[in-house]
Amino acid sequence: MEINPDNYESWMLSYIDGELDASGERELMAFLEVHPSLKEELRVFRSLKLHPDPSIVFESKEILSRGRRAKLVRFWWIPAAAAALVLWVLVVRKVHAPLTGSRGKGLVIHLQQHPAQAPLPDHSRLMIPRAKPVVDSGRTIASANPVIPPRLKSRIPRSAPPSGLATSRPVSVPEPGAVRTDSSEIALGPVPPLPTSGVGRIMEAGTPPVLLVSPSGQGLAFKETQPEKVASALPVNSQAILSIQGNLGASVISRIARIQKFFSRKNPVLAKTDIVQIGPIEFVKPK
Amino acid sequence: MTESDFQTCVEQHADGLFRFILKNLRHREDARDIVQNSFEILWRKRDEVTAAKSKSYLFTVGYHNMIDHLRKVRNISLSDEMAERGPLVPEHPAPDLSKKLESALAMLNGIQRSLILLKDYEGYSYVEIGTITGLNPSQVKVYLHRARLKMKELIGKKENLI
Repeated sequence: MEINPDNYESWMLSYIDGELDASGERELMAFLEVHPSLKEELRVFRSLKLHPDPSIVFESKEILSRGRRAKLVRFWWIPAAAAALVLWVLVVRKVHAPLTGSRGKGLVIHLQQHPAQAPLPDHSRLMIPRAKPVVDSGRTIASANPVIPPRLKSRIPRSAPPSGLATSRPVSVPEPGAVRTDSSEIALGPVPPLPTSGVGRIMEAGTPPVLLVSPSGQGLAFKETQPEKVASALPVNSQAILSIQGNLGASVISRIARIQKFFSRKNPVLAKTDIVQIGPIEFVKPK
Repeated sequence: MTESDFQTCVEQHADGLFRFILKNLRHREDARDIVQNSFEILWRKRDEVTAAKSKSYLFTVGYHNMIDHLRKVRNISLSDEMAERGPLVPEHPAPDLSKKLESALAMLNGIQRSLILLKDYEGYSYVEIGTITGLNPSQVKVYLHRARLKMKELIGKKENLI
């Protein structure tokens, strides 16, 4: 297309964009010689060209190297909290002695395990006690019922649980007033062996390790003279028990169960860990 | 491309891509995020991208990431909505030409701004810009010329330009 007074702007813009070939440039220059007043317009278009600002640089280029990405995780605390919880739960596989000193903000997990524990039974499985009226010495303790949200209930195996699981029997839980601490209490930390006598079958050989979750950051203690009340609250025939203590909401328990279920695919111990929420037991600082 | 080619690409093109994205988004953290994402994609595709094509590929990925981002934040404007605010100079004279140009650039629509930045900052040809943006070279030429005429109009008097 030949250059003319109607299309010269397009020619000029192509020229400053470097898109005109040699013959096109010659044609444009010849046109400007004929129309010298338009040379000023060419200067205007040239002045419209932008130049990169060298002060704008991508700082810390090393994060780009090898495809690594250090993207800001805006809600970092959510995966961090979940990871911390899962890490603690996974510890149940490794730990063979009571854990102490796990204080801090948020959820704190204590592992309680009887020193004379026999090899863990392999027939236990994930189990969540169904909510039932809890009878302790003839009294109903409503607050001791395990809290199971509706969505979680649907995930509970419908098949009959193995005999001895807490789902098949009422859970007896100490009443808050019945476990007030005093000088005879047993505090978690190094947990002394619970007396075999009077504890019942749960303290026999094969006693499962008990994982106690304390949301207060304090150690769990219960009265030595009434260990059977605590022990009887715990399911038997499980490899481990994740006991959630305190005023945790159903949604929290549900999430814990989901995390446990997810990781239990690769961790058979977790698959055989029970989750129970027992009634409020008074927390005291470990001595 | 080899790992060494990738490192060279980081050194040579990270700033340019960042400038291009930043000028379009006008949000530093979002621009950084898109640049990181673009290099991450380039790293994953390094076996399929040659070193000679790495810059073009990088800008293509970056451009499309930016468009996706703009769509997500519902900030994309392919109309002349912003440009209809009128010329800048008569009301608020900018202290120098480069600032006037930056102001005028910010008032172009998204595709016009991208085309000008790819042309002026990176020196891409119409064909290369078309590859990056998904337009054909003729469209690139027309849109780019319109963008320059729009900038000229926005800045106003030509004595402000020369």
